[in-house]
Amino acid sequence: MNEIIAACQSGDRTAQKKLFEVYSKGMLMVCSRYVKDCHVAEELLLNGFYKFFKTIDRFQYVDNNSIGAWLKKIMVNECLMHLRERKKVKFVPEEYGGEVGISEAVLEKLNANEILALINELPDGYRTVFNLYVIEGFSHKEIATMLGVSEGTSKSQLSKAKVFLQKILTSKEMVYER
Amino acid sequence: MKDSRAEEIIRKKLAELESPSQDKLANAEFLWEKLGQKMDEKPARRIRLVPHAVAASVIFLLVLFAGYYFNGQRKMEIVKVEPGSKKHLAEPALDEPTVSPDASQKKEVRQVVHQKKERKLQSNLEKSGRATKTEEHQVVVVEPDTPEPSVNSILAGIPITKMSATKTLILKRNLPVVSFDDLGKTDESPIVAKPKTQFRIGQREDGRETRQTENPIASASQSAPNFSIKIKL
Repeated sequence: MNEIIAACQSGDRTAQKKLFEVYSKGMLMVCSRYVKDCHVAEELLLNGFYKFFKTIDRFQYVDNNSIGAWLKKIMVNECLMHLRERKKVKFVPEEYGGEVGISEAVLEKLNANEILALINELPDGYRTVFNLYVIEGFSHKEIATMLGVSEGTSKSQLSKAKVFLQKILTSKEMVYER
Repeated sequence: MKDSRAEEIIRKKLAELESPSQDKLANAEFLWEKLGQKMDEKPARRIRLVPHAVAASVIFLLVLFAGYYFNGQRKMEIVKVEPGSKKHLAEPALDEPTVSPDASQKKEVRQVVHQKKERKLQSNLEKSGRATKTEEHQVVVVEPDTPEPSVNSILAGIPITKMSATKTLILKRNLPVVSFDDLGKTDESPIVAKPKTQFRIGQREDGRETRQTENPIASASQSAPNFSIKIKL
C-alpha cells in the first residue's frame, strides 16, 4: 500500500483509482451513518476523496490503518459540514437525563447492516451525537466543540438516542423471542 | 446495564462494514469517473462580494481623500499678485497676502467681491426657485409727462409688503428703481439707482431705541413730486 500512496502523491491516476476502489465501499458506509440519503452520501464520499487526493502530499504512511483513519476523519468532517450547511441538525438545549443502557443481547443477534439500519432510524441530531460518541469515540467536550453546542446538550442527545434505540431493540427482542 | 459492552458490539460490527475490502462498490466505475472529472476541473473562480465591496469602499475613500488633499493644496497656494494687476482685481483670494493698495484699488476690490457675492446669492436663490432673473433686472422707466396717479399705482404695484423675505431682500439689493430726484431729466436711458435700506429711529416708552426699516420705494412713491409724467414700461 505504501507504493500506492507514493504513486498517488506523484499524481498517478491508476494508483488513485486503486485506492478509491479499496476504500470507497467502507467510506460510503461511514457517510451513510451520518446522511440517510444515499445520493448525498455518494456526493460526500466523492468530496472526501477529492480532498484526500488534494492533500495526500501531507500524508505520512505508517500502516494501512493510518490511511483508513485519515480517510474516515475526512469523511466525518465532510458529513458534519454538510449537516451544518443544510442546518439539518437542530439541537435544543436539554437537561441530561442520566445514563441509559442498550440491550446487548439483541445487538449480538443483529448483523452490521441491521445495526446500520437501526442507527439510520435515529433523528439527525441524536444520530450525529451517537455516531461521534459511540462509534468515532469522541468525548462530549469534543463533540460540543465540533457541533457548537454545550456539553450537556451532547450528553442529553446521546441519552435520548439510546432511549430511542432501546425502544426499537425492545420491539425487535420481542420479535426474536417469538 | 452493560452499556459499554453494547457500544463495543456496535463499534465492532460497523468496523467490519467500514474496513477496506476488495469488493468494489457496484457503481465504483461511475463514481470514479465523476471523481476524475471533479479533479480535472480547474477550481471555480469565486467572485466574493465582500472583498469587492471593501475594495470599492477603499477606492472611494482614497478618491475622496485625494480630492480634499488637492483642494486644500490649491487653497494653500500663496498667490503673489502685484497691486492693481487684473488678476488681483478679478479674483481676490481669501487668503491672499496682505498688500497695501491705495484707496481706489481697495474700493475696486470690494466692488468685485460684492458683485461675486451677489451673483452667488442670486444663483442660489434661482436654484432654489425663490427668485428669477427677470425680477432681478426689472427696471421701471418713468418719463417726465407721466401722470402722478399712474406713477403711484406702478410703484404701489410692486408688492414689497406681500413679497417673501427673500424676494424683498432681492428687491432691496438688486432691483433698480427710478430715482424721483431725476424725473425731470429728458435722457432716454432709464436713470436707475439702487435703493438703500433706511431706518427710522424712534424711542419706546421705556426709553429703548427702536429701529423700523423703511422701504425707499414706498417712501419714494409717497414723496413723489406733484407734476404730470408719462409711464413707459
